[in-house]
Amino acid sequence: MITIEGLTRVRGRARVLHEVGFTARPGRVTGFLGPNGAGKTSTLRVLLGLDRPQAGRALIDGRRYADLERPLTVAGALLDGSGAHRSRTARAHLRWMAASNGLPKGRVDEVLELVGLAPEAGKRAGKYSLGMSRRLGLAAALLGDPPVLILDEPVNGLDPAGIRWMRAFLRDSAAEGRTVLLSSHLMGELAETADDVVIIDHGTVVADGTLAEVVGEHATLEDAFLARTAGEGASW
Amino acid sequence: MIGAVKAEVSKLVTLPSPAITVALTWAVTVLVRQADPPGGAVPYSQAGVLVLGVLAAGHEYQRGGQIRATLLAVPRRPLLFAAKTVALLVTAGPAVFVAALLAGEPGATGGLLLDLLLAAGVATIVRHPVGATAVVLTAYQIVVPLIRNGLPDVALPPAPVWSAAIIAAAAVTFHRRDA
Amino acid sequence: MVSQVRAELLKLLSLPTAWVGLVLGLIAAPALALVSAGGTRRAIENGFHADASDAAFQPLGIGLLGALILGVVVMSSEYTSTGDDSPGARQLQATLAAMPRRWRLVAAKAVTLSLLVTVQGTITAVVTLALNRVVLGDLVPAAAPGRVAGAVLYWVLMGLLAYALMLIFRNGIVTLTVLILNISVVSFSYLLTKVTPLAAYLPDIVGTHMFLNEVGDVRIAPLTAGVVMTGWVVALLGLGGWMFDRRDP
Repeated sequence: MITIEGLTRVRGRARVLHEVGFTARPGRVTGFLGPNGAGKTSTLRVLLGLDRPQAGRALIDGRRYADLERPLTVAGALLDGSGAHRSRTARAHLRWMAASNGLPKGRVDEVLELVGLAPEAGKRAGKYSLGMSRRLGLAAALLGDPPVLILDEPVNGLDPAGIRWMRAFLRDSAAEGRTVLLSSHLMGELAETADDVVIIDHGTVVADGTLAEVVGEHATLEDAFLARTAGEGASW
Repeated sequence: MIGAVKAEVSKLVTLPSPAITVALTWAVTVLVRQADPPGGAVPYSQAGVLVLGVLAAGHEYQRGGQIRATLLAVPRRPLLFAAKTVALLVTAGPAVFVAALLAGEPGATGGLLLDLLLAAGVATIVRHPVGATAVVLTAYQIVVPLIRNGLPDVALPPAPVWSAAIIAAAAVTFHRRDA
Repeated sequence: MVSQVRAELLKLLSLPTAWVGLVLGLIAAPALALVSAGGTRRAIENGFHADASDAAFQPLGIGLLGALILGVVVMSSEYTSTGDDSPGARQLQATLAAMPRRWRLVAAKAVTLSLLVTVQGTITAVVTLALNRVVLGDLVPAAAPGRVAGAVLYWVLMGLLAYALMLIFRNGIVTLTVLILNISVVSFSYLLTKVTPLAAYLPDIVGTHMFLNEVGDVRIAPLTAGVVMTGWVVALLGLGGWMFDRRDP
């Protein structure tokens, strides 16, 4: 369960987040939508203790991420890039992450197998393609077998087979009772995977509900999204 | 805490650049000692130790952005900073001792360890390994000698004071700032 | 070639790090000349310098850092990844897309760097030497224009040396460590001169004979010094360029 309340973050004179609040529930995939620069990544970074908000709280099972004893066993996160140093091998990267949370070494090979990186685990991360880096990032997120998954644009850089695999993986995770929060700007993708949808624009939540509620009278999620965010023309 | 220290040790020993730096530092120390410079071989080993400190802390901020993975694994920043310091001393300490031995001045180990921590502190604050290298080497090899020779009246604070100040500043910045 | 040099200038001057090198090079030496005036005065009065005119040039050494930083940045910027989400993408890809002829690129960067460092070195040398005259008065003789030109040329060649080492090692830490140590009191080259007199002809040592009269025990004519150092830099740039041309970016 992810609870976000009144999150406000100001950077210089720019308002990045303004009283952002929503929840992501166990057993459901919550899609977090917004144009580029709307505050999706900022929200996730605050949720993960990377950035500090000026006001509000972002909690995972009632606790701040930065207060967790063994955070990888509570929440797994996939941000852009793999976070691996380019001159370290994928296996060495996962090994230190496992050690930091007291996870058994054997778990490293399990997740490498799970994301299909086992044959390339001895390669240095700098030699990985974009798709392989994403898989390595996902392997790191799954290390602690966490009940909560937080993913920023998870299908970015994946090929069609990878996208299908990711969609099934997210659905299965929710079916097992995990809380899945994913940000995206790919409407079609989200309409296929999400149970609940939160739309953010200019740092403010503009829609929040089940997929059906948010789509409402519009023909598609994309129409609903554009109707709520297209206030001032093309955002790109 | 033990898990965090183990992770940091594992990070340092699986990276090629610190190991290469240690090997080069030893080699240079041995060679320089043959030439018998007036100030002894320690200032040369010191340069290698400074680079080692910069790499150990600075590699988090090189391309790839490993620092985020690190903070996701160990989000408690004061604990992480302590674990990093302990891991650095545990892994680099013996290597620094060997360098001091090779320089013929095992007593210099303590001073070199302070230099090591100071360099790591600068790299943590600057978050740019190349920039941090330029800063520490310039400070140690150019600015301090210049002040000693050019301004003999100016009393520089002793090395432990400097190191403690930089490490404290690094700890505070590391705790406060957005990753 | 002109358009390529213009492109490289625009590229370099839009980087904050390049400005750090530029400004540092401009202010460090004059600042040091002011701060250390008392010490220099005493050193001259106590006869520490056999040739007092050398004392005026001493503070220039610290400003050399600026030239080294520029020499490193001109190449290191190409290898920095463009963003966290694309760790493999480097500016070099865009550069080579725009200027696929690699030898020309190497030359364009060398010309750009030389231009910038010449301007930087000239301003710094003139300002530092003038300040010296103001604070030290007649203790130091006025600097001969030929020696000032020698000092500026030394700056340019050291900047190019940093660039050449970057082409060879592709690593800013290695390049800066080698060069900063060598312009410092624990210079390897200087140490080597104690082992073999031939070391006096290493690039960073020999070049100082262009503007200093007392370097070590050997005397080398300024012209010879300039030719030898230029030879080194050209050879290393040739090696670096050849490696850059052959390597996959």
